[in-house]
Amino acid sequence: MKSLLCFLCFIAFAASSRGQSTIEDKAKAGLHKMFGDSAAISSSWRRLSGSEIDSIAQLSHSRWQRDSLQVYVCSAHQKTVGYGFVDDVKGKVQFITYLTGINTDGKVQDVDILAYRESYGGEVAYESFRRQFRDKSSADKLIPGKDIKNISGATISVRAITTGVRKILLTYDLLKGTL
Amino acid sequence: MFIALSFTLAASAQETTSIGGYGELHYNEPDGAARGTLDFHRFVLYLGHTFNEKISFKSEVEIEHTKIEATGSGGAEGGEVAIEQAYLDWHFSEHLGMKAGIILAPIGVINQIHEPPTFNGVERPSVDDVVIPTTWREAGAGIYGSFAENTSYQLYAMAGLRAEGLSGEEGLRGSRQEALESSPMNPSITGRIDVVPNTDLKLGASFFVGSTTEGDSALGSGTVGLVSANAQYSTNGFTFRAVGAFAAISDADKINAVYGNDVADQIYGYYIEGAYDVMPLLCAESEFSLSPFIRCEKFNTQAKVTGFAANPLYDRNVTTVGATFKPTFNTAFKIDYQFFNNAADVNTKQLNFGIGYSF
Repeated sequence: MKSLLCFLCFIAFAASSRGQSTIEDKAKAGLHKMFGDSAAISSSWRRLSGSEIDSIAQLSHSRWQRDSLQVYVCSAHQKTVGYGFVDDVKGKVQFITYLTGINTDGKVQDVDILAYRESYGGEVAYESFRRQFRDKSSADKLIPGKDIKNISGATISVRAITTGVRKILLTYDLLKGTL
Repeated sequence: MFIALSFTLAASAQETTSIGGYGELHYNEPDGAARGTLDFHRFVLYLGHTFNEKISFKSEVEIEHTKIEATGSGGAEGGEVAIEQAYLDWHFSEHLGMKAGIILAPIGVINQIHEPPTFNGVERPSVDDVVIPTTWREAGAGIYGSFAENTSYQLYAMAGLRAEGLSGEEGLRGSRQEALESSPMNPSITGRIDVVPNTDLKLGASFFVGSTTEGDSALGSGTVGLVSANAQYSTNGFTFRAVGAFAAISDADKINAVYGNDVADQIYGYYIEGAYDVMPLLCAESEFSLSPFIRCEKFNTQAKVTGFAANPLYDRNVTTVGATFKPTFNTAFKIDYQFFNNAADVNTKQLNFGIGYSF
């Protein structure tokens, strides 16, 4: 038992001392994967008005808990090729930080899980789950369990990410003329 | 789903506390003259706290059968208040996390995920009662994470089982210590691997191994080794679940000699279950689900014995036929009918109604 405890302590210290990249670094890496390594990425903050937040919440059943969001713009050859939105949604206890890439057709390029902090439900980071969002747009209802398949044992995380992506798509729809 | 009592603008910046829970009310009516009973079987509260984005506390406190009362001469069954989970969770990365506290043995399906809307049938499967002694929790610590795309692991050391509580009828169930002044003398190792090849299929394999005799030479090693496998498959409204477990107990004959018990050398059990959501056929636009299901269980808590004859009463089958109606993913109304029989040809039946929720 004592040797086991020593082993666990060793793992804890070894893991805690590892360098961690920031959410912003991970977001940029995720967007490069989605829109190409050569894409130039810039970001700016966009303020959401009260009526915009209400309107998005009504349609998506998920509410922005802040009134400004960081929008990443990806471009290639001086032409915009896509946008990125980083958001936090509540899992069972911890927040899940995810990135949604949207192309200029208003469709999901891909979804990436930037930080998953729970001990259960991490299956939402698997490619087999995330790829269900590709090519979805604000016209898709994204009903969890129907349009987006559930994964047994990860229901709360699946629902959180699914309603989150719908919220992002509706936000993009509302803001696209001003981005 | 947990409700945030306080919300952070930046997920990682502040501490938050969450509450949640689940519960289930059952009506059980055995076939024949016996009257039915209404019982709020489980009322569970979750309490969680995030200290920072890596470290959190999670707990589950359960009240069974609504209240505690002495088991008196009237034979009334006393309820139970129990801490079923209470642990610190240090999540280093998606590849490695560590838990320490009262943790669940990661065996089978129901022992880890037992919120009533997540399974069919009013009562939990019998295999998840006597073969996998749900809710199986002990004080312990260990690691979890994913080591490849679509694959996750858990590996824990925890307080072991005690030979004194092993029995022929209920297998390992009575031998759990449940972190109540538990002995560290039978340290045990348990773990599992889950693979999700695609969103339709989830496969799991788990094990537990440890001594039960605290080094008492009169009892022998009393090593319990348990292996379990499970598969969950869903497609086009159809869901399928299969769980199997096999346990071997060494020196069961010595344990029986000391305690005058009837512990088996080997125990096994399995069940298969199929369900189909008919709601899309009744109302295509409905977000409700209505799933008739059938579950067939086979389990034997005296599959192999030494020095005495196995009791045929413990070689059992249970067939459960019913339906689960879910107006939301986390609320359920259930009805089922169960057929119990065994190798001694004793056959009984039971009607069950239930409601369940989680949030």
